[in-house]
Amino acid sequence: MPAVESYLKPEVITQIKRLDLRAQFVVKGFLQGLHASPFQGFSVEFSEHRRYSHGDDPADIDWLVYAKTDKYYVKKFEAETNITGYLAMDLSKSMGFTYRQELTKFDYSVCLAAALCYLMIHQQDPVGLVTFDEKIRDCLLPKSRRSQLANVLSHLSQLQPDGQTDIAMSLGQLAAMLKQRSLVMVFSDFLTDTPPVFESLRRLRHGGHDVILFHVLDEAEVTFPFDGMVELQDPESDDTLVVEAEGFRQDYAQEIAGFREEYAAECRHIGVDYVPLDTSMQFDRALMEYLMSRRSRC
Amino acid sequence: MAFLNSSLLFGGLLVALPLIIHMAMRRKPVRQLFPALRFVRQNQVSNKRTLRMKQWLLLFLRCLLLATLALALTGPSADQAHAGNWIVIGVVSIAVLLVVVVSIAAIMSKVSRSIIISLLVVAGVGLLLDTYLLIQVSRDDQTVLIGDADASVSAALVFDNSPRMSYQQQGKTRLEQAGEMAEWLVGQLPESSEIAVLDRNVRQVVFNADLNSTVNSIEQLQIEYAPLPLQSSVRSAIELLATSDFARRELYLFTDLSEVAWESVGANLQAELEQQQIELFLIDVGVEKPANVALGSPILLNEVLVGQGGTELSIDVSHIGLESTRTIQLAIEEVDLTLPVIADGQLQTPNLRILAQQDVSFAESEMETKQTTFFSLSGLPAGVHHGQVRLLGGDGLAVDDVRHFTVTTQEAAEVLVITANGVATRYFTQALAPQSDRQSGRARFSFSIMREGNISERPLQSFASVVLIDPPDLSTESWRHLAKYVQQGGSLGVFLGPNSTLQGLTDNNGVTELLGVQIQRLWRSDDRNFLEPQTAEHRILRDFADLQGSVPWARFPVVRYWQAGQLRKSARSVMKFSREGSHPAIVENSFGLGTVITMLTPVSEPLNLENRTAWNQLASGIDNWPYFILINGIADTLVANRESRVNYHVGEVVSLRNDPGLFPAKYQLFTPTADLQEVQPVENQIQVSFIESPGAYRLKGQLDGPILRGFSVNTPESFSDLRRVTTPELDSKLGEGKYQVAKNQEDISFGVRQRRVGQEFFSLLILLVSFLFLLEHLMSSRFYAQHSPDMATEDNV
Repeated sequence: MPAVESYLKPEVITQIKRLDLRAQFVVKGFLQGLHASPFQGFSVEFSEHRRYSHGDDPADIDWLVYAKTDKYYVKKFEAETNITGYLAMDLSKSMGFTYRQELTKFDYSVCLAAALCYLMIHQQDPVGLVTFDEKIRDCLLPKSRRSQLANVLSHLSQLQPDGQTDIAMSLGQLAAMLKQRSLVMVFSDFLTDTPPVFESLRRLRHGGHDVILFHVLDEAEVTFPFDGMVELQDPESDDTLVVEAEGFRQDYAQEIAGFREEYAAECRHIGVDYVPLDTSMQFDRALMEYLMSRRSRC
Repeated sequence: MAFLNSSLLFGGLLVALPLIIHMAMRRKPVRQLFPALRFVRQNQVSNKRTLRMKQWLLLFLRCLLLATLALALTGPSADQAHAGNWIVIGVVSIAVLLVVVVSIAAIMSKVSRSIIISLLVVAGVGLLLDTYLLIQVSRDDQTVLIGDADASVSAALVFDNSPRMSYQQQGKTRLEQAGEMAEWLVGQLPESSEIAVLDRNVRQVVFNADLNSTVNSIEQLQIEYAPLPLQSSVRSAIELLATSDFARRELYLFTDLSEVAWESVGANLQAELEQQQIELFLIDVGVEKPANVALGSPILLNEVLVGQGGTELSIDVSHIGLESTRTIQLAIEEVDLTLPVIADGQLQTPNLRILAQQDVSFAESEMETKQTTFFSLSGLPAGVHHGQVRLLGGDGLAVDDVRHFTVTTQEAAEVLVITANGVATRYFTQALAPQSDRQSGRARFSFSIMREGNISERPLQSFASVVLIDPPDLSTESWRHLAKYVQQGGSLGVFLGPNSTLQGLTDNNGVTELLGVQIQRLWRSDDRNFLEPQTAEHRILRDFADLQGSVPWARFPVVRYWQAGQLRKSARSVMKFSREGSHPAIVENSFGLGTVITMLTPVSEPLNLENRTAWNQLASGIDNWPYFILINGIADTLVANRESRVNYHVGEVVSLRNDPGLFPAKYQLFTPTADLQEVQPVENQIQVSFIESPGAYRLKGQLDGPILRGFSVNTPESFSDLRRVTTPELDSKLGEGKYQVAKNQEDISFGVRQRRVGQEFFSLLILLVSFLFLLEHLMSSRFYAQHSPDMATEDNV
């Protein structure tokens, strides 16, 4: 298992930092873009006054200024975001798979999670970690202290993908566990039946949580690069299947594309961000692209 | 179909190998962890079907690969004509096997029944097609393929050594060219082969003892001026090859492919070749675009010149090829009774004296064009004269640049005319020898008139002919004397008239046998009766031939004549009477060595007779030129019996009359090739057979001094015809695809290999093996690809 620091590769952090600088999302960017903050007024600093215009909340009108100037001004605040984030890691055995990439799906997810954790801690957001397989196995409560980053990373480094998974059950447990609105970032291959998963996602959304699905597949699971006769074995169920790869590739590609499209459609429907990834993509670039697209939507 | 190494066919059993491997040593597929198995499982059934199909196809491919390899190593070959069929059979067979394999896989994969039935129907159709083609091939394939180009063969080399083969190109005659190719070919034939060399000459044909004798036979080939028909030589070769024990029989025909030579070849030759399973190779040594000016045979108006008379010599000059102007020269030998002699093996002949020469010009032409040139000959002294017509300058074919002729000059032929007192003979004699000719010494005939006396006591042998003009009744002795004269070769003309009686002509005095006809009665007719030709091609009527039906015979009525009954077998009617078609007017009868010509109405009737009516107006009619021609025709025919033809073609039998007392009883024959032969007449005839070379043949004998006679021999004009036979004509005679034509050594090598081994399939099969190997490699590598990076088992985290 690589050291914790390996997830914080200088080039990765540099990438994120540069993104941070360029996009100016420390306050207005990333996290503000991630959610419409319900916690406005908490730990805020006055920024400026602006003439009231139609549509502004009348509660924001600075009556003192009105008294002095006889004009309506609203107060503008710059808020330090303190949204609570949960990194939900799938520990199923299938996550430990890769065919020919450097990182398994799990490694890839850990890198992503580490980067996001770093970002959130860096802007003093509390971050927690939840791991699950058939149910929630472990939970690291969210904190915004700098030491929390080390804790999360340390915890991540000790995780082993093993056993079967029940994503729907685990996400249901998580929904029940969260007491305040949070940002739930799920890292999984979602290789399970879709309806229960969608149901649990709806429950999370119903609980007022923001949800981002990082759908991580191995490059081989996307491209089906095998040749000739292969006997495929499911690492979780140990089921085997002998197939002739060439004849299968096209059908498989259609299946996996349909699978991803199904998730994308459902996530759009219930207001969940869906990020399809595969291990051949550079995770830092993948993350950056996602954040950029997220910012452009806000 | 033949195999070079048929035992290697057992190699086909190797097809069991992939089957065993497939059955007993099935290779396990590569195991691979794959979490997204749920998406694979959904298409598992169709994939499994495809997989099974591919497995069967791969198995089929491997079996086919081994079978094809085994087949290729056996060195299969087939007759060229059926190579295409065999290829189609092979392709269809592979297709049928493929469909069968797919059908089996489909059955095992439980594919729709309609698809399986369709596949089986396709396979059935393919099988039917295969069966049909196999029957066709086995029915037609009579060719013996020995499958080994180096196996011993039985070969006959047949050379067309006709004079045409002396055509020169690039300093070599066609025969020399053929000889060179033949010697090369003999060197190429496998050892222990039987080889025979034949040409267009008559000789016993056997296989040569060894290679040296074969080469010697080829080197000794010469132009044959009297060649046998090409078909005869080829048939002799076929008969010889039929006696051979070798399976492979080959006939090499070295020919210039001239149209004339191939005219003799009939379509039955193809059947004979097929029956004896003989392969025919035509080695074409001819010239595609020949250039030649050729002289035809000289044609003399008269071979016998009388007195100071002359004759006309015409000769055809034909041309083919480039533009040309040539000089034709007429020359005749000086009279020298001391020659010929043979000195130091060389024939010494009198010098030639040039009499005339003419230029002829021809434009360039690929077709044969012809001109006729005329010369006149006259003023020759008595005796036999040999001459030449020759083309100055040279061309490809020299054999037709010189033509030989012989003429005989003699005194006027003496004719004994026997008649009765009071009978006018002047019409007859004037018609044959006009007074002006007699005075100038150009008359062809001289006459002795005998009106009284005993005929039986008159020597007749010295007369060229004896003519009875309206004779009285002759005694039996007289008739016998005349019969004896005719029997020994004399010629008798009998022109019956009113002086004869029925009794005198019908008594048992041998008249009927001599004349060849039984006289029955005196026939009276009217002025609508006239002479009518019956045998237009007869020599008597030869000069009327060009006039066809325009001769005004009706203007010369015949009102009386002796009616003749049934002709004897030796006799034939030359003319008849128009009113009574069955009544002959002129009858020719062969009697012994001589000839009797009988005319049943007088030939010399004057216009006005005092005592009786004229029997006909042939002589007395106005504008009686038909009479003139008829009498001359009869006289020429009578006299010609004594003359001999002196101009011949090679291969003909020469026959010269040699009357005892007039000619020597023994001769020396000098041939143009300086051979000397003794010749003795048999039954008053000199006969010379086997004249095989053109030129002047001279007979030298002694009878009160040296007597020189002779004759000339030319090659037929057909030997100058260089037109080539076309491929369709060859196909019609030999069968399309049943023979090979080669022009050079490469053609021969290729053709012989094609015919001996047939169309070889080795390269084609090896190509197919390579293709199958590639296909198998691609298919199997995709099928059983090794996936080294089994990263699913690695723990990178």
